Amino acid sequence: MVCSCSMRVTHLISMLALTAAASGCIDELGHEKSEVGELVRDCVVPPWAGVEKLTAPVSLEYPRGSLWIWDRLELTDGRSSTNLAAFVTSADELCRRGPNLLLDSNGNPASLLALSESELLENAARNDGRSLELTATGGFVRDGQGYLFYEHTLRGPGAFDAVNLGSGLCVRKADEPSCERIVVDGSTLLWPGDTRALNSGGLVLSDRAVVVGCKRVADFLRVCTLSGAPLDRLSEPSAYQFMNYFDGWVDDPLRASVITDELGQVTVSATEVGFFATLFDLFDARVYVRLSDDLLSKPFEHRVELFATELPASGFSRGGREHAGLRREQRTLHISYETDDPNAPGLHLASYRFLGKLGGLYQ
Amino acid sequence: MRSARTHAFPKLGRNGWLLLAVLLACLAPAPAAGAEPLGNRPALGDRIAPQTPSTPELRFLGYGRAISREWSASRDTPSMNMLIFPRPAQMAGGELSLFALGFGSFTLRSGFAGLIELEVDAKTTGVNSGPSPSGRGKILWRGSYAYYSALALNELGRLLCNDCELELTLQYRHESQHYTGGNNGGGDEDVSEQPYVGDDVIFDIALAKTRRDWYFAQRLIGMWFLPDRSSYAFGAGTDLHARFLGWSRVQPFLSLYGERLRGTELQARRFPDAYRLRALLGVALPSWLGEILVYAAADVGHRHGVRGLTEEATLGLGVRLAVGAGPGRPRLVGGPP
Repeated sequence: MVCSCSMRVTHLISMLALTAAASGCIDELGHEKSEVGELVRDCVVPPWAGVEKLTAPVSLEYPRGSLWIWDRLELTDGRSSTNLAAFVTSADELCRRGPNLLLDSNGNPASLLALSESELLENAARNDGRSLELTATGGFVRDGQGYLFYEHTLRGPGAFDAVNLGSGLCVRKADEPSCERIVVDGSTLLWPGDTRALNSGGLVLSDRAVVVGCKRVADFLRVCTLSGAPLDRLSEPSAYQFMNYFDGWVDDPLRASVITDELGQVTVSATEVGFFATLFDLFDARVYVRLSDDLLSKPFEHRVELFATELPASGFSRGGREHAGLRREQRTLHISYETDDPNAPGLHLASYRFLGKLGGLYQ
Repeated sequence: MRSARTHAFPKLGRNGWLLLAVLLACLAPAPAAGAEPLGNRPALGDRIAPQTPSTPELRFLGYGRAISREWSASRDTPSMNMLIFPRPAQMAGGELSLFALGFGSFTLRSGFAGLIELEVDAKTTGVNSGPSPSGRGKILWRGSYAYYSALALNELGRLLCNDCELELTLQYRHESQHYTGGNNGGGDEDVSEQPYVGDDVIFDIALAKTRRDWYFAQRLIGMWFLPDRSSYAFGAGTDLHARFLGWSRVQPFLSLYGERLRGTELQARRFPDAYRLRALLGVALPSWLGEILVYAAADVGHRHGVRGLTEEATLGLGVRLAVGAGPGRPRLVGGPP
């Protein structure tokens, strides 16, 4: 009996040893996500009559609307037009009917940011295959006036050949179809060369306008910094300084604090409780936000994923601006992006609504 | 200037008075005729000998429940536990009654359960000094405590069958989770997206039966999570246990556990549902204090702690030191030999 019992115990121990040999196995079945909100809409924006297709716009965000600007649009008659713009006041309306382009006094689509007569003549006189183009990059709005930064780009002769000559500033008065380029010392090139990045929009904070600029500094590294100028000197290039978290506004660009580093589009906006940097990841076509309690003293924190967009067939999505001017309530963000996904190609507007108070991100 | 309000008696609040009432109830019963002399009372007796209703018996610090849950396959079982595979995980925990009141037909126990678990977020790859299993990964923490009251319905259990036990338990439980950052200067990990167990009230009903050489136990569990204190709303689970008692030294057993939790919103973040199924197959080595469980484990479902959104299936191996009334010690009245 004792022997029999010992044998059973031996069998048991053998079984356990066998199980031990087979154990240590981990098979991951999946990974779920918790959500801070939900995607309530992702529509394809219908193009304006006469426009072949809409591309991803840059924008100026007004309190009651968003001014969308396209550097180039292909028209149905085969021509192309530069720096056309539309003032969008409703996300619903945009998804239903598309944008209404700003028109000049003759009823034709107006160029918001136009080359001067002399620049047009210079372009016509060139025989090197190059031409000067103006490319809007975003800006801010103060007292109904839009301050739009743009780049002077010498493009050509190849499709991908482009030289950034420097940045300029254009001011759009309320309801005007075009803006007035600021000239200082006879030049619209207010910040020459690649010295100043003013390419990711901006906003007004108390007594200063703040502009976000992102610049590639190494392979897969693009850092974003803040420039700013007092509200009474917005048209003076020398008034724009860099934000340093320790010393405040400084003149040396190398002392600028990095607010975030992202390869894709970055849009900084104010919310009722802090600041969002809305990010559009070039590689996974997802939209994220980063948060900062105080834009002028704290960098943006870790990414919080919001939603995935339609993956492009070409591998890269375009656009990804967040349009604060379309917010009718604080909890919903509106993001435009362009995709060539065969199922829904074109310009999209996605609306994402946070649960509770901005998804509890500031709790 | 505002002045502080004064009270003739210390202001205890509702919870304070409740606590005081429980304390007085604990202290009030005097040893009655026929009760076991204090000096002979076992320190860890799990079963109070039936008394007449007029002579309730009070005992301090004993086994947690009449029907132990130390054999449970749930990872939430408070015990001294070491998972060797698939990941190294050590748990220190236990469940003990602070007092027990025996009324003959029923026994009321009230006590505390707590655990703290450290789990390496990687497969077991070696042995640490100690020795204990080790792996190369972050250390994930889970901590939990619970206050509970268990009502063993002795007479009703006997009415169901001769060797049946029946017990109802209500507990208030809190669980939180953490992780330890690496030593190599890596960035912090955002775990705000992970589910948070938080606070919940758990009710369970347990039935145990001994039939010849076999012991069976079942526990049905209902969980209600406090609103805005957890990423779950409610849940249900079941615990099953079968054990061969034919051998006094080594008792083969099988434990099964399953639970499903309904996800909800917490701090304006919506969390998905979760489920867990787990089986333990092993042997119990019983003693007067408890038992050593050596087991193989198989589970499928969501992980615990700050990896709660990951769903996986694993095979593992573990050892548990279980203190409590077990089926290997039926009708245990005495203490240490």
